[in-house]
Amino acid sequence: MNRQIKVLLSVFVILMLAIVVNLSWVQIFGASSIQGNGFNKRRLVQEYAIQRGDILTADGHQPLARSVDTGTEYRYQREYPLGALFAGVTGYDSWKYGRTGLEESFNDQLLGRGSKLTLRSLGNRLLGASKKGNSIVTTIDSRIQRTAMESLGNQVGAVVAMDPRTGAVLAMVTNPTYDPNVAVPSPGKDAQANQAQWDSYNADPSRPLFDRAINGLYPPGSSFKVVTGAAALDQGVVTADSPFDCAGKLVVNGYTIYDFNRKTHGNLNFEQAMVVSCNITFAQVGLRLGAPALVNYAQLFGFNKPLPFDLPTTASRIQSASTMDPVALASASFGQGEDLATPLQMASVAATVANGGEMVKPYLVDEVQDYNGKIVEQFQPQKLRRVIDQQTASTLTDIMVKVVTSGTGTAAQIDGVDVAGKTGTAEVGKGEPDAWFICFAPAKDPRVAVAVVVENGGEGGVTAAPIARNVLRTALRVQP
Amino acid sequence: MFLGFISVQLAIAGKVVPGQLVYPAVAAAVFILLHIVMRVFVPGADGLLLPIAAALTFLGLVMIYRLDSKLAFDQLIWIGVAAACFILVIVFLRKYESLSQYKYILGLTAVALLMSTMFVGKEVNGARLWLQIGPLHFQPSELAKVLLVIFLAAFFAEKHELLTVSTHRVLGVPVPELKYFIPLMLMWGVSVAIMIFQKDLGSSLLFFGIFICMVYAATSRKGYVVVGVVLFALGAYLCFLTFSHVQLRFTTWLHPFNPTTIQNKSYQISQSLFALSSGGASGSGLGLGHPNFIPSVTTDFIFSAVGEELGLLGASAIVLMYVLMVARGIKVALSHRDDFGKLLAVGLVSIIAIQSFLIMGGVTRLIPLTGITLPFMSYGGSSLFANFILLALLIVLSHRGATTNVASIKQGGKR
Repeated sequence: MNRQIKVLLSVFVILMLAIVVNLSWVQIFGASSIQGNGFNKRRLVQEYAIQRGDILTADGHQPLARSVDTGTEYRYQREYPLGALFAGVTGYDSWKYGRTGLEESFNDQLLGRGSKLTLRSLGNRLLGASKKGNSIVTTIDSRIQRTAMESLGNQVGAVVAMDPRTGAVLAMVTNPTYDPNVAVPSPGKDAQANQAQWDSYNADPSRPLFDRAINGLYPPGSSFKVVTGAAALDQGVVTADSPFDCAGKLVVNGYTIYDFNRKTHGNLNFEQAMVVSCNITFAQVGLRLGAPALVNYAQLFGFNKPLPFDLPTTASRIQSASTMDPVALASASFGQGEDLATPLQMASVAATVANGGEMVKPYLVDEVQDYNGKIVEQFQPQKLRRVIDQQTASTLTDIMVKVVTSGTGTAAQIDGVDVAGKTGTAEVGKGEPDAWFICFAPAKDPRVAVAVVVENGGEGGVTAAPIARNVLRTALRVQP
Repeated sequence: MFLGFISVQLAIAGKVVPGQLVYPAVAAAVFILLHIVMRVFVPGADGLLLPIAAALTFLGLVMIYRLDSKLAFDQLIWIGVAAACFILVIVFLRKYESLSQYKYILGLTAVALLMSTMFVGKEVNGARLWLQIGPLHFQPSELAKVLLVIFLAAFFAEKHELLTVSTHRVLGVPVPELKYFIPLMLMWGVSVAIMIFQKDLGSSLLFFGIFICMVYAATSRKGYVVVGVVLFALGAYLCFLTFSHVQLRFTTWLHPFNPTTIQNKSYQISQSLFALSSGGASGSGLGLGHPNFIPSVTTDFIFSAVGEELGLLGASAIVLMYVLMVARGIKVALSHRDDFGKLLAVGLVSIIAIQSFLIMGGVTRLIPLTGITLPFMSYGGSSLFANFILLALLIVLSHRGATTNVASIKQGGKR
């Protein structure tokens, strides 16, 4: 009998050994593949155990997003005190719907991950601060942001304002928009109402979750004449005084192009053509310039590539030179044809001219602070490239000032300040044209550049220019 | 254990709550008392069995306190009740041989206990395992397994010569007469009945496993083992074809992460695996993991909680403790000279070995999951009660084994 009992012992020991072998696979060797499973709640719980840092405005460090201790499984959840006003900037951070906006692109900083290991950060970690993320200070000024949103009112569109000297984005508004608080199903909220609201955002044909300021593609219309004009002046194809003749239409390769509203401008020079926004003149300018030069300048301004930014952007588009026949070239020269631009792109065009022809990288985050308010990372303005000569920029600025003093952009005038601007009225497939206005001020020493687009807003000088003027006015008052 | 309690308090409340250190103090006092009782009444007893059981019980209590501090109070009371039974067994059953006289009564009681839930049982988590007496829930299968082992040990001790007599030969292999297969068939019937009527795969497997171990030890006939395993496999396969809850166990075992079942049917096992995988080698630390995501973590899945918070090292230590306990139990069986004592020890050890293997293997996905408790560690009165009686019997046996050996050496007996 003893032999059998010993056999049983061996069997039991082997079985137990099998458990340990299997456990070492589950816990060590295969652990990462098990943990990576999307249904593993632990990952989320660990992430939400960290007190995510705040997102702050440039003016007075007002919180745009902050963490609230819910005391539940997903411990720290987001709250957006200014709600919809900053939805396009902050985005949302939700265990249910994921992340967008700065919440997504600065996730690592907000969670306090991956920051450089310094003596202080090591000290913080030892003191338990690894559960606290870093805060980010944006370049957005809440006063300019609010003005932009209020001026846009209930019109569909977007406004981008930036400091042309640094590229700091001062306001970035898109409408219609959404309340990011709805994305956070934190305890204490009516879960059903929340879900219903979220579903209606998704179902809404006006797409409130879509950020028009950086991802909306619109035909730029006449606002693109700043690009064409910059190219032509920079290449020496025209001067401000170059004479042109506008017969109200132009036949290119047997195809007739008409001016906006079939208007005839008669004899005028290049400067006057910009001031009255004559399409026929710019078609001729484009044809003189040639497709390769026009496309090249547009690309120098940033077209055909997503603009480098703190949020993912959509690339503005211009047809490639090789496929651009004279008809396409003529239309592209005044911002129609296949040209498409985002409001951020057109704000960058205005800013580049304002900055004497040198393009700076637009940015949204100024600095990263640890939970004590100590600066962990400071972002410096970045020069991207010289797009046009200083001289060209200065000539173009003078012309754009005249657009506002005596041309299509008079609605953007501000007492005591020279505003340089350009209107755009872009014909679209259906309905009223999209209204554009791009501008900067003061013309001599620009501190603010603005781009406004109103979908189906009609004429740029009528709809978009007053919005731009409001934004400029507020920005000039608050911006040193 | 005190350290465990303090670290749990630090991790969860951020401070030490001295008042609640009464839990480990009481538990420690209980085991010191048990040790004294053991020294006084059964001085020749194995010195390792009680400390191992104590270590497992303490660790279980710490984990339960960490998971749900209210349950820890109940568990402490159950430890007290179980300890009282332990003392009763040590004091009054030192002459364990008398048990063999009542083998049929005990056997019938075991069967009655098992069957009782089929008629008046309460269904919990899809299995009929519980008897409700007033506010108390009792799981009769826990006690039944000990009674059954006593019965089987007595039965085989008396009849094993008969069972080994073989008059037939099939394909040259000596096979006992057909009528001696009757107990095997009966046991098989009981196991399958449990599987069918109580939907309790764990107990079914456990009972049959114990039976096979004891038959093998008693008769040394591999034929019984082979026939038994084949029969059980057949029964299990038929159940698999017929019953969805059996199928479910298999499919969730094979595909725990199937996206269509992971949020419902395979939720438990997948949560257990997530917990274990997050533990790594040294674990998250007591109170710092999230074992509460696993349903019934204080009972069946307590091993996963250990794996998450104490890591592979902690979990392996637990496994090692069961191995040690089983090895000491086997030593007791080997040291005995009478068949009843030997078989009783083998049976009791088999309970611990098979039950701990089934549940530890189940929650780690080594084998399909069957819901049974982890001896000494899991939360629950019935389980602690039965396991402490089991432990007490084993300790009595170890005392008698040791003293009879000493006696036989003194007498110059040959063995």
